[in-house]
Amino acid sequence: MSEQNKDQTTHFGYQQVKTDEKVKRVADVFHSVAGKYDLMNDLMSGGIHRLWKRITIEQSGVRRGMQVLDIAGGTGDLTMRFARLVGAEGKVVLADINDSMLKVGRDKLYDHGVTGNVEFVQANAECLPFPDNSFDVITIAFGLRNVTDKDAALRSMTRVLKPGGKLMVLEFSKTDNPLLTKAYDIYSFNILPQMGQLIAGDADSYRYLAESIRMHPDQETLKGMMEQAGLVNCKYQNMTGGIVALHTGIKP
Amino acid sequence: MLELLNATLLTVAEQSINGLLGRDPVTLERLAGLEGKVIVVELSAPTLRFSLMPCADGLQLYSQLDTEADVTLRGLPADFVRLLGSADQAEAMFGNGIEVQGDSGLATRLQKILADARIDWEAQLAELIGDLPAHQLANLVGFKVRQYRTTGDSLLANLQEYIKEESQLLAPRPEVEAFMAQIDRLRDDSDRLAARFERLRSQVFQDRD
Repeated sequence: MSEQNKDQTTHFGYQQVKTDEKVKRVADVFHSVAGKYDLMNDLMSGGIHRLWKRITIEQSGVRRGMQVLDIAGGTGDLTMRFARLVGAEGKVVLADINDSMLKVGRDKLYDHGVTGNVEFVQANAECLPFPDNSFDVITIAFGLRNVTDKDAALRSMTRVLKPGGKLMVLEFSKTDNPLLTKAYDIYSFNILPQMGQLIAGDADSYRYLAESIRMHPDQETLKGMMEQAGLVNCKYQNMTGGIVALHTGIKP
Repeated sequence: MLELLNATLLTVAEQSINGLLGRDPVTLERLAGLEGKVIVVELSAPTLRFSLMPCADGLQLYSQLDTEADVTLRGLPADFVRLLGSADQAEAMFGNGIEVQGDSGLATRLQKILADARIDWEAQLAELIGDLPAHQLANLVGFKVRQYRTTGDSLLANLQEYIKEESQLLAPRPEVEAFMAQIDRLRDDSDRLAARFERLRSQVFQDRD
Protein backbone atom coordinates (compact mmCIF):
# COMPACT_ATOMS: atom_id res chain seq x y z
CA MET A 1 0.00 0.00 0.00
CA SER A 2 1.37 3.45 -0.89
CA GLU A 3 2.15 6.21 1.61
CA GLN A 4 -0.66 8.27 0.22
CA ASN A 5 -3.18 5.52 0.80
CA LYS A 6 -2.10 5.10 4.38
CA ASP A 7 -3.41 8.52 5.29
CA GLN A 8 -6.69 8.07 3.46
CA THR A 9 -9.72 7.02 5.43
CA THR A 10 -12.59 4.72 4.59
CA HIS A 11 -15.70 3.59 6.41
CA PHE A 12 -15.78 0.70 8.79
CA GLY A 13 -19.48 0.47 9.50
CA TYR A 14 -20.37 4.00 10.55
CA GLN A 15 -16.84 4.82 11.76
CA GLN A 16 -14.12 6.38 9.67
CA VAL A 17 -10.88 4.42 9.88
CA LYS A 18 -7.57 4.54 8.04
CA THR A 19 -7.70 2.55 4.82
CA ASP A 20 -5.10 0.05 5.92
CA GLU A 21 -6.79 -0.36 9.26
CA LYS A 22 -10.08 -1.49 7.71
CA VAL A 23 -8.54 -4.71 6.44
CA LYS A 24 -7.40 -5.58 9.94
CA ARG A 25 -10.68 -4.58 11.57
CA VAL A 26 -12.74 -6.63 9.09
CA ALA A 27 -10.37 -9.56 9.62
CA ASP A 28 -10.94 -9.31 13.38
CA VAL A 29 -14.70 -9.37 12.86
CA PHE A 30 -14.54 -12.55 10.80
CA HIS A 31 -11.97 -14.27 13.02
CA SER A 32 -14.41 -13.66 15.81
CA VAL A 33 -17.53 -14.97 14.07
CA ALA A 34 -16.07 -17.76 11.87
CA GLY A 35 -16.96 -20.71 14.09
CA LYS A 36 -20.59 -19.70 14.43
CA TYR A 37 -21.00 -17.97 11.06
CA ASP A 38 -23.38 -20.53 9.56
CA LEU A 39 -25.55 -20.68 12.65
CA MET A 40 -25.73 -16.91 12.86
CA ASN A 41 -26.56 -16.58 9.19
CA ASP A 42 -29.47 -18.94 9.62
CA LEU A 43 -30.72 -17.09 12.66
CA MET A 44 -30.16 -13.61 11.29
CA SER A 45 -31.93 -14.22 8.04
CA GLY A 46 -34.39 -16.81 9.27
CA GLY A 47 -32.78 -19.24 6.87
CA ILE A 48 -33.58 -17.02 3.87
CA HIS A 49 -29.88 -16.68 3.00
CA ARG A 50 -30.11 -20.26 1.71
CA LEU A 51 -32.82 -19.21 -0.73
CA TRP A 52 -30.80 -16.21 -1.95
CA LYS A 53 -27.82 -18.50 -2.50
CA ARG A 54 -29.93 -21.14 -4.23
CA ILE A 55 -31.26 -18.55 -6.69
CA THR A 56 -27.69 -17.38 -7.32
CA ILE A 57 -26.58 -20.93 -8.08
CA GLU A 58 -29.49 -21.65 -10.39
CA GLN A 59 -28.86 -18.45 -12.33
CA SER A 60 -25.12 -19.00 -12.53
CA GLY A 61 -25.42 -21.37 -15.46
CA VAL A 62 -22.55 -23.40 -14.00
CA ARG A 63 -22.27 -26.77 -15.66
CA ARG A 64 -19.94 -29.74 -15.94
CA GLY A 65 -16.30 -28.94 -16.63
CA MET A 66 -16.45 -25.23 -15.76
CA GLN A 67 -13.89 -23.27 -13.73
CA VAL A 68 -15.59 -21.35 -10.91
CA LEU A 69 -14.17 -18.86 -8.42
CA ASP A 70 -16.11 -18.33 -5.21
CA ILE A 71 -14.64 -15.18 -3.65
CA ALA A 72 -15.26 -14.46 0.02
CA GLY A 73 -16.67 -17.97 -0.11
CA GLY A 74 -16.28 -18.19 3.64
CA THR A 75 -17.87 -21.30 4.95
CA GLY A 76 -18.34 -22.81 1.52
CA ASP A 77 -22.12 -22.79 0.95
CA LEU A 78 -21.84 -21.93 -2.73
CA THR A 79 -18.67 -23.94 -3.29
CA MET A 80 -20.30 -27.11 -2.02
CA ARG A 81 -22.98 -26.95 -4.71
CA PHE A 82 -20.68 -25.64 -7.43
CA ALA A 83 -18.21 -28.49 -6.80
CA ARG A 84 -20.95 -31.02 -7.49
CA LEU A 85 -22.19 -29.15 -10.55
CA VAL A 86 -18.79 -28.85 -12.26
CA GLY A 87 -17.94 -32.48 -11.56
CA ALA A 88 -14.52 -34.09 -11.71
CA GLU A 89 -13.61 -32.34 -14.99
CA GLY A 90 -14.26 -28.89 -13.55
CA LYS A 91 -12.70 -26.91 -10.73
CA VAL A 92 -13.92 -24.61 -7.99
CA VAL A 93 -11.60 -22.24 -6.17
CA LEU A 94 -12.82 -21.15 -2.76
CA ALA A 95 -11.05 -17.90 -1.97
CA ASP A 96 -11.33 -15.87 1.20
CA ILE A 97 -9.08 -13.23 2.69
CA ASN A 98 -9.70 -14.60 6.16
CA ASP A 99 -7.94 -17.81 7.12
CA SER A 100 -10.34 -18.60 9.99
CA MET A 101 -13.28 -18.56 7.59
CA LEU A 102 -11.33 -20.57 5.05
CA LYS A 103 -10.51 -23.24 7.64
CA VAL A 104 -14.15 -23.53 8.71
CA GLY A 105 -15.13 -23.79 5.03
CA ARG A 106 -12.50 -26.40 4.25
CA ASP A 107 -13.51 -28.58 7.20
CA LYS A 108 -17.16 -28.30 6.28
CA LEU A 109 -16.54 -29.30 2.66
CA TYR A 110 -14.39 -32.27 3.68
CA ASP A 111 -17.08 -33.35 6.14
CA HIS A 112 -19.58 -33.38 3.29
CA GLY A 113 -17.30 -35.45 1.09
CA VAL A 114 -16.48 -32.59 -1.29
CA THR A 115 -12.86 -33.10 -2.28
CA GLY A 116 -10.75 -33.39 -5.39
CA ASN A 117 -12.07 -30.55 -7.51
CA VAL A 118 -11.91 -27.76 -4.90
CA GLU A 119 -8.91 -25.57 -4.15
CA PHE A 120 -8.63 -23.28 -1.15
CA VAL A 121 -6.85 -20.00 -1.64
CA GLN A 122 -6.34 -17.19 0.85
CA ALA A 123 -6.56 -14.14 -1.35
CA ASN A 124 -7.48 -10.48 -1.35
CA ALA A 125 -10.25 -9.74 -3.85
CA GLU A 126 -8.50 -6.48 -4.83
CA CYS A 127 -5.50 -8.31 -6.27
CA LEU A 128 -6.50 -11.86 -7.13
CA PRO A 129 -3.53 -14.23 -7.58
CA PHE A 130 -4.80 -15.86 -10.79
CA PRO A 131 -3.84 -15.44 -14.45
CA ASP A 132 -6.06 -13.36 -16.77
CA ASN A 133 -9.08 -15.09 -18.34
CA SER A 134 -9.15 -18.05 -15.92
CA PHE A 135 -12.76 -18.49 -14.80
CA ASP A 136 -16.14 -19.11 -16.41
CA VAL A 137 -18.09 -17.85 -13.42
CA ILE A 138 -17.06 -15.75 -10.41
CA THR A 139 -19.34 -15.28 -7.43
CA ILE A 140 -18.94 -13.04 -4.42
CA ALA A 141 -21.75 -13.55 -1.93
CA PHE A 142 -22.00 -11.17 1.02
CA GLY A 143 -18.35 -10.29 0.62
CA LEU A 144 -18.03 -7.16 -1.50
CA ARG A 145 -19.14 -4.77 1.21
CA ASN A 146 -16.19 -5.85 3.39
CA VAL A 147 -13.67 -5.09 0.67
CA THR A 148 -11.84 -1.81 1.21
CA ASP A 149 -11.40 -0.81 -2.45
CA LYS A 150 -14.47 -2.17 -4.22
CA ASP A 151 -13.51 -0.71 -7.62
CA ALA A 152 -10.15 -2.46 -7.51
CA ALA A 153 -11.87 -5.70 -6.53
CA LEU A 154 -14.34 -5.46 -9.43
CA ARG A 155 -11.48 -4.73 -11.86
CA SER A 156 -9.48 -7.66 -10.50
CA MET A 157 -12.44 -10.01 -10.83
CA THR A 158 -13.08 -8.81 -14.37
CA ARG A 159 -9.45 -9.46 -15.25
CA VAL A 160 -9.50 -13.11 -14.16
CA LEU A 161 -12.87 -13.81 -15.82
CA LYS A 162 -12.74 -15.48 -19.23
CA PRO A 163 -14.27 -13.42 -22.05
CA GLY A 164 -17.98 -14.30 -21.96
CA GLY A 165 -17.63 -15.26 -18.30
CA LYS A 166 -20.09 -14.06 -15.70
CA LEU A 167 -19.57 -12.14 -12.46
CA MET A 168 -22.31 -12.50 -9.86
CA VAL A 169 -22.43 -10.22 -6.82
CA LEU A 170 -24.90 -11.24 -4.14
CA GLU A 171 -25.02 -8.54 -1.50
CA PHE A 172 -27.28 -6.72 0.90
CA SER A 173 -28.80 -3.69 -0.75
CA LYS A 174 -31.43 -1.01 -0.30
CA THR A 175 -35.14 -1.58 0.10
CA ASP A 176 -37.48 0.86 -1.62
CA ASN A 177 -40.40 0.15 0.66
CA PRO A 178 -40.34 2.67 3.60
CA LEU A 179 -42.21 0.34 5.94
CA LEU A 180 -39.87 -2.56 5.23
CA THR A 181 -36.89 -0.25 5.63
CA LYS A 182 -38.10 0.85 9.07
CA ALA A 183 -38.69 -2.73 10.24
CA TYR A 184 -35.37 -3.78 8.83
CA ASP A 185 -33.57 -0.94 10.65
CA ILE A 186 -35.09 -1.85 13.99
CA TYR A 187 -34.14 -5.46 13.40
CA SER A 188 -30.56 -4.72 12.32
CA PHE A 189 -29.63 -2.24 15.00
CA ASN A 190 -31.54 -3.55 17.98
CA ILE A 191 -32.22 -7.23 17.59
CA LEU A 192 -29.24 -8.35 15.51
CA PRO A 193 -26.40 -7.19 17.84
CA GLN A 194 -28.20 -8.76 20.79
CA MET A 195 -28.51 -12.04 18.93
CA GLY A 196 -24.81 -11.77 18.13
CA GLN A 197 -24.05 -11.27 21.81
CA LEU A 198 -26.23 -14.18 22.83
CA ILE A 199 -25.00 -16.71 20.34
CA ALA A 200 -21.50 -15.72 19.32
CA GLY A 201 -20.73 -13.65 22.42
CA ASP A 202 -19.87 -10.71 20.21
CA ALA A 203 -22.32 -7.83 19.72
CA ASP A 204 -19.78 -5.48 18.12
CA SER A 205 -19.08 -7.71 15.15
CA TYR A 206 -22.75 -7.98 14.35
CA ARG A 207 -23.25 -4.26 14.80
CA TYR A 208 -20.51 -3.84 12.22
CA LEU A 209 -22.32 -6.23 9.86
CA ALA A 210 -25.51 -4.17 10.14
CA GLU A 211 -23.67 -0.87 9.66
CA SER A 212 -21.61 -2.12 6.75
CA ILE A 213 -24.83 -3.13 4.98
CA ARG A 214 -26.08 0.48 5.23
CA MET A 215 -22.79 1.87 3.90
CA HIS A 216 -22.78 -0.45 0.88
CA PRO A 217 -23.63 1.18 -2.48
CA ASP A 218 -27.23 0.82 -3.61
CA GLN A 219 -28.36 -1.22 -6.63
CA GLU A 220 -27.85 1.41 -9.33
CA THR A 221 -24.49 2.59 -7.93
CA LEU A 222 -23.09 -0.94 -7.82
CA LYS A 223 -24.36 -1.59 -11.33
CA GLY A 224 -22.52 1.54 -12.47
CA MET A 225 -19.35 0.39 -10.69
CA MET A 226 -19.52 -2.95 -12.49
CA GLU A 227 -19.87 -1.21 -15.84
CA GLN A 228 -16.95 1.00 -14.89
CA ALA A 229 -14.86 -2.10 -14.23
CA GLY A 230 -15.42 -3.18 -17.83
CA LEU A 231 -18.36 -5.55 -17.56
CA VAL A 232 -21.30 -5.44 -19.97
CA ASN A 233 -24.97 -6.52 -19.80
CA CYS A 234 -24.91 -5.51 -16.16
CA LYS A 235 -28.22 -5.98 -14.40
CA TYR A 236 -29.58 -6.66 -10.96
CA GLN A 237 -32.46 -8.50 -9.42
CA ASN A 238 -33.94 -7.53 -6.08
CA MET A 239 -34.80 -10.26 -3.62
CA THR A 240 -36.94 -10.00 -0.51
CA GLY A 241 -37.96 -6.43 -1.34
CA GLY A 242 -34.43 -5.28 -2.10
CA ILE A 243 -32.88 -6.34 1.21
CA VAL A 244 -30.61 -8.35 -1.02
CA ALA A 245 -29.76 -7.82 -4.68
CA LEU A 246 -28.08 -10.14 -7.15
CA HIS A 247 -25.98 -8.21 -9.68
CA THR A 248 -24.64 -9.92 -12.77
CA GLY A 249 -22.28 -8.73 -15.49
CA ILE A 250 -20.52 -10.35 -18.42
CA LYS A 251 -16.92 -9.83 -19.49
CA PRO A 252 -16.94 -8.81 -23.16
CA MET B 1 -41.30 -13.38 -5.97
CA LEU B 2 -42.18 -16.60 -7.77
CA GLU B 3 -38.51 -17.45 -7.80
CA LEU B 4 -38.23 -17.05 -4.06
CA LEU B 5 -41.29 -19.25 -3.58
CA ASN B 6 -39.83 -21.84 -5.89
CA ALA B 7 -36.53 -21.72 -4.04
CA THR B 8 -38.38 -22.10 -0.73
CA LEU B 9 -40.25 -25.18 -1.93
CA LEU B 10 -37.11 -26.79 -3.28
CA THR B 11 -35.11 -25.98 -0.15
CA VAL B 12 -37.78 -27.38 2.14
CA ALA B 13 -38.19 -30.49 -0.01
CA GLU B 14 -34.45 -31.01 -0.21
CA GLN B 15 -33.97 -30.61 3.54
CA SER B 16 -36.83 -32.98 4.34
CA ILE B 17 -35.61 -35.65 1.94
CA ASN B 18 -32.02 -35.39 3.10
CA GLY B 19 -33.12 -35.35 6.74
CA LEU B 20 -34.73 -38.72 6.16
CA LEU B 21 -31.92 -40.13 4.03
CA GLY B 22 -29.35 -38.85 6.54
CA ARG B 23 -30.39 -41.59 8.92
CA ASP B 24 -29.47 -44.26 6.42
CA PRO B 25 -25.70 -44.23 5.83
CA VAL B 26 -25.86 -47.13 3.39
CA THR B 27 -28.21 -45.25 1.10
CA LEU B 28 -26.06 -42.11 1.34
CA GLU B 29 -23.01 -44.11 0.36
CA ARG B 30 -24.81 -45.58 -2.63
CA LEU B 31 -26.08 -42.14 -3.65
CA ALA B 32 -22.51 -40.79 -3.43
CA GLY B 33 -21.64 -43.37 -6.07
CA LEU B 34 -23.91 -41.51 -8.50
CA GLU B 35 -22.40 -38.08 -7.71
CA GLY B 36 -22.23 -35.77 -10.69
CA LYS B 37 -25.17 -37.36 -12.50
CA VAL B 38 -28.15 -35.20 -13.41
CA ILE B 39 -31.62 -36.74 -13.42
CA VAL B 40 -34.41 -34.53 -14.73
CA VAL B 41 -37.93 -35.31 -13.56
CA GLU B 42 -40.86 -33.93 -15.55
CA LEU B 43 -44.21 -34.35 -13.87
CA SER B 44 -47.42 -33.85 -15.76
CA ALA B 45 -50.58 -32.72 -13.97
CA PRO B 46 -49.39 -30.65 -12.16
CA THR B 47 -46.68 -29.69 -14.59
CA LEU B 48 -43.42 -29.52 -12.72
CA ARG B 49 -39.85 -29.94 -13.86
CA PHE B 50 -36.84 -30.26 -11.62
CA SER B 51 -33.39 -31.79 -11.58
CA LEU B 52 -31.97 -34.24 -9.08
CA MET B 53 -28.28 -34.60 -8.33
CA PRO B 54 -27.35 -37.49 -6.05
CA CYS B 55 -24.47 -36.78 -3.64
CA ALA B 56 -23.01 -37.89 -0.33
CA ASP B 57 -25.53 -35.69 1.49
CA GLY B 58 -28.52 -37.24 -0.24
CA LEU B 59 -30.21 -35.52 -3.17
CA GLN B 60 -29.74 -31.98 -4.40
CA LEU B 61 -32.79 -30.46 -6.08
CA TYR B 62 -32.69 -27.68 -8.66
CA SER B 63 -35.46 -26.05 -10.65
CA GLN B 64 -33.12 -25.23 -13.51
CA LEU B 65 -29.68 -26.46 -14.43
CA ASP B 66 -27.56 -25.74 -17.46
CA THR B 67 -25.85 -29.12 -17.30
CA GLU B 68 -27.27 -31.59 -19.77
CA ALA B 69 -29.41 -34.30 -18.15
CA ASP B 70 -28.03 -37.84 -18.06
CA VAL B 71 -31.56 -39.15 -18.01
CA THR B 72 -35.01 -37.56 -18.19
CA LEU B 73 -38.05 -39.22 -16.63
CA ARG B 74 -41.56 -38.13 -17.63
CA GLY B 75 -44.80 -39.25 -16.07
CA LEU B 76 -47.67 -38.62 -13.69
CA PRO B 77 -46.92 -38.04 -10.00
CA ALA B 78 -48.73 -41.29 -9.16
CA ASP B 79 -46.42 -43.23 -11.48
CA PHE B 80 -43.41 -41.89 -9.62
CA VAL B 81 -44.86 -42.79 -6.23
CA ARG B 82 -45.43 -46.33 -7.52
CA LEU B 83 -41.90 -46.37 -8.90
CA LEU B 84 -40.41 -45.50 -5.49
CA GLY B 85 -42.10 -48.40 -3.78
CA SER B 86 -41.70 -50.98 -6.49
CA ALA B 87 -39.45 -53.98 -6.05
CA ASP B 88 -39.30 -54.76 -9.74
CA GLN B 89 -37.54 -51.72 -11.23
CA ALA B 90 -37.84 -52.71 -14.84
CA GLU B 91 -41.56 -53.22 -14.60
CA ALA B 92 -42.15 -50.05 -12.62
CA MET B 93 -39.97 -47.97 -14.88
CA PHE B 94 -40.92 -49.19 -18.30
CA GLY B 95 -44.34 -50.75 -17.85
CA ASN B 96 -46.13 -48.00 -15.99
CA GLY B 97 -46.27 -44.95 -18.16
CA ILE B 98 -42.95 -43.41 -17.16
CA GLU B 99 -41.09 -42.28 -20.22
CA VAL B 100 -37.33 -42.68 -19.91
CA GLN B 101 -34.99 -40.73 -22.14
CA GLY B 102 -31.22 -41.13 -21.85
CA ASP B 103 -29.27 -43.42 -19.55
CA SER B 104 -31.99 -45.81 -18.38
CA GLY B 105 -29.44 -47.80 -16.38
CA LEU B 106 -28.84 -44.71 -14.23
CA ALA B 107 -32.58 -44.28 -13.67
CA THR B 108 -32.88 -47.90 -12.61
CA ARG B 109 -29.96 -47.60 -10.20
CA LEU B 110 -31.40 -44.48 -8.55
CA GLN B 111 -34.82 -46.07 -8.29
CA LYS B 112 -33.32 -49.13 -6.65
CA ILE B 113 -31.34 -47.09 -4.14
CA LEU B 114 -34.40 -45.09 -3.12
CA ALA B 115 -36.69 -48.11 -3.01
CA ASP B 116 -34.16 -49.92 -0.80
CA ALA B 117 -33.73 -46.93 1.54
CA ARG B 118 -34.59 -47.91 5.05
CA ILE B 119 -36.18 -44.88 6.54
CA ASP B 120 -36.48 -45.35 10.26
CA TRP B 121 -39.84 -43.77 11.02
CA GLU B 122 -39.58 -44.72 14.65
CA ALA B 123 -36.39 -42.69 15.09
CA GLN B 124 -38.01 -39.74 13.33
CA LEU B 125 -40.90 -39.94 15.72
CA ALA B 126 -38.60 -40.35 18.73
CA GLU B 127 -37.05 -36.96 18.02
CA LEU B 128 -40.47 -35.38 18.39
CA ILE B 129 -42.08 -37.28 21.26
CA GLY B 130 -39.25 -39.23 22.94
CA ASP B 131 -37.98 -42.77 22.60
CA LEU B 132 -40.49 -44.73 24.64
CA PRO B 133 -43.73 -43.22 23.36
CA ALA B 134 -42.34 -43.45 19.83
CA HIS B 135 -41.64 -47.13 20.22
CA GLN B 136 -45.08 -47.82 21.65
CA LEU B 137 -46.75 -45.83 18.95
CA ALA B 138 -44.69 -47.47 16.25
CA ASN B 139 -45.76 -50.89 17.51
CA LEU B 140 -49.31 -49.76 17.79
CA VAL B 141 -49.75 -48.37 14.32
CA GLY B 142 -47.69 -51.05 12.70
CA PHE B 143 -44.72 -49.10 11.44
CA LYS B 144 -42.95 -52.40 11.90
CA VAL B 145 -44.79 -53.81 8.93
CA ARG B 146 -41.98 -52.82 6.65
CA GLN B 147 -39.44 -54.64 8.77
CA TYR B 148 -41.46 -57.84 8.65
CA ARG B 149 -41.94 -57.45 4.93
CA THR B 150 -38.21 -57.05 4.54
CA THR B 151 -37.57 -60.23 6.48
CA GLY B 152 -40.09 -62.04 4.28
CA ASP B 153 -38.55 -60.59 1.15
CA SER B 154 -35.05 -61.63 2.12
CA LEU B 155 -36.25 -65.14 2.98
CA LEU B 156 -37.81 -65.42 -0.47
CA ALA B 157 -34.68 -64.05 -2.09
CA ASN B 158 -32.51 -66.53 -0.20
CA LEU B 159 -34.76 -69.40 -1.15
CA GLN B 160 -34.66 -68.37 -4.80
CA GLU B 161 -30.92 -68.10 -4.67
CA TYR B 162 -30.60 -71.50 -3.00
CA ILE B 163 -32.75 -73.22 -5.60
CA LYS B 164 -30.95 -71.57 -8.50
CA GLU B 165 -27.35 -71.29 -7.42
CA GLU B 166 -26.75 -73.87 -4.71
CA SER B 167 -28.97 -76.78 -5.62
CA GLN B 168 -28.90 -75.98 -9.34
CA LEU B 169 -32.46 -77.24 -9.60
CA LEU B 170 -33.36 -74.24 -11.72
CA ALA B 171 -31.21 -72.27 -14.13
CA PRO B 172 -30.54 -68.62 -13.26
CA ARG B 173 -32.49 -66.11 -15.30
CA PRO B 174 -29.57 -64.70 -17.36
CA GLU B 175 -28.56 -68.21 -18.33
CA VAL B 176 -32.10 -69.06 -19.41
CA GLU B 177 -32.35 -65.85 -21.39
CA ALA B 178 -29.03 -66.49 -23.13
CA PHE B 179 -30.13 -70.04 -23.90
CA MET B 180 -33.45 -68.80 -25.35
CA ALA B 181 -31.62 -66.26 -27.45
CA GLN B 182 -29.36 -68.96 -28.80
CA ILE B 183 -32.38 -71.10 -29.68
CA ASP B 184 -34.00 -68.14 -31.44
CA ARG B 185 -30.85 -67.58 -33.44
CA LEU B 186 -30.57 -71.27 -34.31
CA ARG B 187 -34.20 -71.31 -35.43
CA ASP B 188 -33.69 -68.24 -37.62
CA ASP B 189 -30.54 -69.75 -39.08
CA SER B 190 -32.23 -73.05 -39.88
CA ASP B 191 -35.20 -71.19 -41.44
CA ARG B 192 -32.82 -69.19 -43.62
CA LEU B 193 -30.95 -72.35 -44.56
CA ALA B 194 -34.19 -74.04 -45.52
CA ALA B 195 -35.22 -71.05 -47.62
CA ARG B 196 -31.85 -70.97 -49.31
CA PHE B 197 -32.01 -74.68 -49.97
CA GLU B 198 -35.46 -74.26 -51.45
CA ARG B 199 -34.27 -71.43 -53.68
CA LEU B 200 -31.27 -73.40 -54.92
CA ARG B 201 -33.42 -76.47 -55.51
CA SER B 202 -35.93 -74.53 -57.57
CA GLN B 203 -33.07 -72.99 -59.57
CA VAL B 204 -31.63 -76.45 -60.24
CA PHE B 205 -34.98 -77.78 -61.38
CA GLN B 206 -35.57 -74.70 -63.57
CA ASP B 207 -32.17 -75.15 -65.22
CA ARG B 208 -32.91 -78.82 -65.82
CA ASP B 209 -36.24 -77.94 -67.46
